[in-house]
Amino acid sequence: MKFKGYISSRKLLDGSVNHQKVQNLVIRDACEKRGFEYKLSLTEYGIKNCFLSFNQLLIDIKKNKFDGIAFYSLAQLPKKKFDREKLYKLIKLNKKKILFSLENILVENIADIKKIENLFKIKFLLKFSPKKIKIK
Amino acid sequence: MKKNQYNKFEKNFIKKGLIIKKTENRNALYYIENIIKKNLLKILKLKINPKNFQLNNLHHYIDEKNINTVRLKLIFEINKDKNFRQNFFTVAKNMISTIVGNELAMQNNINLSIQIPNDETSLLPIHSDTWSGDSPFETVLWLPMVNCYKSKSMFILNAKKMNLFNKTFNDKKIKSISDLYEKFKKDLKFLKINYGEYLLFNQNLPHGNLVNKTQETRVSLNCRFKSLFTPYSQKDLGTFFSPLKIRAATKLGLEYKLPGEK
Repeated sequence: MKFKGYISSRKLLDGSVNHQKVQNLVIRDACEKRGFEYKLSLTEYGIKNCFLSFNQLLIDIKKNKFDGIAFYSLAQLPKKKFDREKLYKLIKLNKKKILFSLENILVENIADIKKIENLFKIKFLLKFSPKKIKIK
Repeated sequence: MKKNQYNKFEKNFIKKGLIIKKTENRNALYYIENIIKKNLLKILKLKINPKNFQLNNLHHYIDEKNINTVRLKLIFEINKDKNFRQNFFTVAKNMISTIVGNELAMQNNINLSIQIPNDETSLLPIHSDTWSGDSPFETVLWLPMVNCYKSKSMFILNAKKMNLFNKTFNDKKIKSISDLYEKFKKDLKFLKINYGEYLLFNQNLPHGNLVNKTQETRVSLNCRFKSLFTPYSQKDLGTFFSPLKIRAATKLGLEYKLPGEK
């Protein structure tokens, strides 16, 4: 199975920034462990709220250029649900797979989508939770 | 700043964003070519005399499936060679000094591209390096190992269209990289550059490549240079760049201690 890598060049939703070299290594390792063929990553541009590369991947995967997309992390997903839904549609309708390499999660069915969506929302909300709680 | 402070090469680079010239040191070019061929033959386990090994025909020995593995192995091997970096710099040393500066940082690893005919897996869609973590103070030295033309080469945006490009980028109709490419297709020019020449270009200008529709393979090298003390972006000093040339005054400054300081 061919997996196209997807890496980022701006801060992720959880506030992390990682070197592209590291992102690629994590993806390569995750693909290798599952026996997927890793294809050179497409890099999301650093411009705020830009998802040109993400949308390009959706176009290319529909053309069957590859069988799945290997994200570096879950925190690369778009903030807007509408955009995430476009990705989930590929799993539901086109039988494609999504791998979140850092978290080592493979999404391949509706149950997986529900799990990932919950995890994403909690992860995103955690940013706003207090880091410390003072007990008087 | 006075307008006439720039020489003709600098003026040209500012205006067009690129310079194509004959390599400044032919022996350095031969050295680079020999290291590439020698290592490719080793990786591909081929018993051919390097002199008879034509990089233009590399697609006879590799395919889409192993191209990236071969490329990565080759990049590792050429960068292991102790003289490769220096020879690469020597190819355009004077021009780099003119355009970039005389205290330089050079990318740690020289990149190598292999574009075999009709391969869709090794594409670099339209991009500017600054969109993915490079500083706008960087300049790319691009060195072809074969003659490059049409889709075997790379394309770059006409510098005159840069303002229009920036204004149009947020157009809501542009949703994907293909949309962006289609919008500016007519302003993107494929560079004609022969073996024995180098290209120095402003990586802030959008550039990329398409599927190589010629019957020959492109093998080219690229590496970023910047003035040592200009700002770095995500690709920083140490992890991505290292100092190439430090002038005497800077060396003295780096080693200076006030009286009494240990």
